Amino acid sequence: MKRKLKKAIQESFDFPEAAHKAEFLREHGVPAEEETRRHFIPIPLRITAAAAACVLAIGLWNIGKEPAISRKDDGGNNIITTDEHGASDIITSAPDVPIVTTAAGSEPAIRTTTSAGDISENNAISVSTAVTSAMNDIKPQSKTTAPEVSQPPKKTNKVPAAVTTAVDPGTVITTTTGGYELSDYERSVIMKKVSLFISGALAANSFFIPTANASYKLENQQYYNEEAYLEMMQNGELDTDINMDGKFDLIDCRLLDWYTTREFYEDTVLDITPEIIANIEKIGDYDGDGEISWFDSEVLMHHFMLNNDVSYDYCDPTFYDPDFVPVPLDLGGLTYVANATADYMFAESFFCRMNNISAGYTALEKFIDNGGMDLDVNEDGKVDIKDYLYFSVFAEERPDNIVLPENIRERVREEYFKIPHMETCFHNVRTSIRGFISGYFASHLTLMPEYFENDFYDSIVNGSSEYWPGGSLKQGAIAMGIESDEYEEFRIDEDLFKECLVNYYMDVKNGRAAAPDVNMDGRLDEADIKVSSIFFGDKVMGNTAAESELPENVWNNFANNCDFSGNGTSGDIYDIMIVQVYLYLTDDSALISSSANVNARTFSTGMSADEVYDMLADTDIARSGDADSDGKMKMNDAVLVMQTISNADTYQLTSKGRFNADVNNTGDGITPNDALGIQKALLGLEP
Amino acid sequence: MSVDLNEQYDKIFRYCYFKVRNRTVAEDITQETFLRFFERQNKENDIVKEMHYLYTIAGNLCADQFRKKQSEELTDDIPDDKDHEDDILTSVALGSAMKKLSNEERELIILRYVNEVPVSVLSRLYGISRFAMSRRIRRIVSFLKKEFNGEEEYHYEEKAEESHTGVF
Repeated sequence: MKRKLKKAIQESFDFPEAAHKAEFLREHGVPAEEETRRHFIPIPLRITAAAAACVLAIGLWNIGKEPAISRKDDGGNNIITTDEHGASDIITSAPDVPIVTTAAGSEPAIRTTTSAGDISENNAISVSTAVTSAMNDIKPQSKTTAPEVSQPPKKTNKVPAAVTTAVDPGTVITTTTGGYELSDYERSVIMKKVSLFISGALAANSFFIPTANASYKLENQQYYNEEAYLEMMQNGELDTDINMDGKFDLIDCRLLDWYTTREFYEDTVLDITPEIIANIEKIGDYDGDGEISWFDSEVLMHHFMLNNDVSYDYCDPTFYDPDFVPVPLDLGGLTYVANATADYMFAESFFCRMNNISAGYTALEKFIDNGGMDLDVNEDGKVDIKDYLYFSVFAEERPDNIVLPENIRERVREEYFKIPHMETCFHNVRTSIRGFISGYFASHLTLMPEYFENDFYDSIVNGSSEYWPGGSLKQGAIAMGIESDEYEEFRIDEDLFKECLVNYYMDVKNGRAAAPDVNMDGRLDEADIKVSSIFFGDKVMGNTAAESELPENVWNNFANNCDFSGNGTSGDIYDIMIVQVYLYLTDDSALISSSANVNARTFSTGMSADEVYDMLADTDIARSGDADSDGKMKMNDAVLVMQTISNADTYQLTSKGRFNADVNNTGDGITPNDALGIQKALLGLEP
Repeated sequence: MSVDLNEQYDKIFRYCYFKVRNRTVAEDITQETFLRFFERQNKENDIVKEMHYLYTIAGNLCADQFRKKQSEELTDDIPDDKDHEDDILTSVALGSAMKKLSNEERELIILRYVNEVPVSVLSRLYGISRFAMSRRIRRIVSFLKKEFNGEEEYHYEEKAEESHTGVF
């Protein structure tokens, strides 16, 4: 976001002041604001900074030599570890594991991968051994839909599925649902595949997205920070038996959720005893942060979802309280339930959390297969690509760009809202649900190549291409393992990229590698960046050296001799990005002008200069000390650092200046010690 | 590390004021929020969780307040959106653009850019992923930017807005 607009937004609001803040906070032992502000920048530091700024400003300019500040050694190690990520990796790297598909339900299918060319043969509707997907992989117990009966809680007439969990760490876990048993090996494989899938989704969403079509992935990202706790639960290292009845089931999830929200929903009565509360307080802090919070509850729910055949039944508040009748309340455009109870909130929470991970797909698939939704919304007697379009567009349709006919919109809305909680949670889950719908259609329709083209849909509903239904279907197909992700090779793992970049930068600095002069003109300048951009375009478009606008020798050089990342492939996205980012990092003053030109533009790969420096802020790359980015480290850089600390309202550093100036304890941001470090370097007191 | 309570007090107050549109009530809710926060917050040292907790309490209390008002049939006393926005929006150009947003979108803008609530906290508050939240905010900001700069004309019909916020 542009700073100008952000500032304009901030300055455009004029909220009234709270009248009794000071006395209220004082009464509760919170120090006054003035005291806390003094702690922010200690007075001695501010005095020191101001004094130093004065002393330096009166005549110590350009003192001494101007050595480059370089305190870190790369250690000579240029080993780059590559890790596998991406949905397609899951499909191809895991060992063959029998999977029970939901389509037929009786015959196990072996994991297979299908190339794009096989689409028409392998994806006809009702194929019993459909290609399995990463999402299917995490629901190995899908053979059964009948939950096992366990001890019901008070006010409950339906009971959730049960999973027997060993309480003692180290004990072998036996998970039983409807006669299908998971071995430890299977469970281990499942967890690994889930992890891979998550890391793939993360990588896909967190970094450079070269095209609009590729910007979509199923929403699994929230999962990432729970992995460690989920694995510990899976391994029995964390006790999940909240009510100490010898098994782990939905009741345990509900009890923990109640505990974390009990202050708000005291009206709900559960079968809870002081012993259970004591047990919650003993075992419930799964993340070890000192508090039993919603996060612990979420982890436990996700653990349940990964081990059970979840369905929308669990999202129905009457599943827990048959007498519950929701009273809708429209609150300024946001729809709430006026009489929300802990049961209701748990059901809704279960629904939202289910849609944060792939469990949401399995539930939706089951819901549709069981007749919960009628996909033939145009009522022409068949479920086809038109119906897909209606569902897909509806989920993202904006009020300023309505394209669906009103009768179709009503029908789609009616069908969508058959899903429990959709009326109140549509905003929150619609992106996930759209992804699941795309996956469902992708795995049940006979796919034609044009279905992946957005423009194709304009012939069905004019203007619908703006909602990229083709791209969404494509991503659904990729997520289901039906279609290969053609943009996979253009995705970057941010951490890996940083590692590659730092290693390469240090290699060049220490003479172990050549600078990225990709056009071989003997200079490192903006022309190299342009070459990398054109080469990137060629890679995306599939152009060869002969088809490129680049000279053939330059193209071939990039394709064969430019493995800057050291990953064994020359001219891949990592190498392209290294060329584009490297220029920012050089402290060669001759390049500053072209670097400044580059600063004003956005890379073809979608990254701005600010983003580059922000991304690299925590790397070990040695900094030049050139706070004002004029190409040289001088005493005024130290002054500027001090000024930005002592008078931040008047003096600010650019992102590049912040990066350059962080010479002391690199990665910790700008501190007075950075100004001191610059001065010492200028005085020759530090190498 | 814990949240700066002095800073958060103001921010929670703004949030409540935006929700309930009454300064006295907003301050009451803010203090009640902090009282509950103080009662519970004894070991917390995670800023994200603390902020999430504060906004969750405040949001629930605001919702309770609204229900209470509804039950007392005092809805006539509540000023309409237009007046309310005029009270707190000083920029005509941006105010005009903001009024074209839905309530939820306005709330998001205030939370993100006035209260500077991190995306990680917002994503938890709204129950969506950080990336989905980022995309959503970017979409709103993109709209504001176009409106603000006059680059493109957007027309949010009132009826359409109702559809956007009430149905979706």
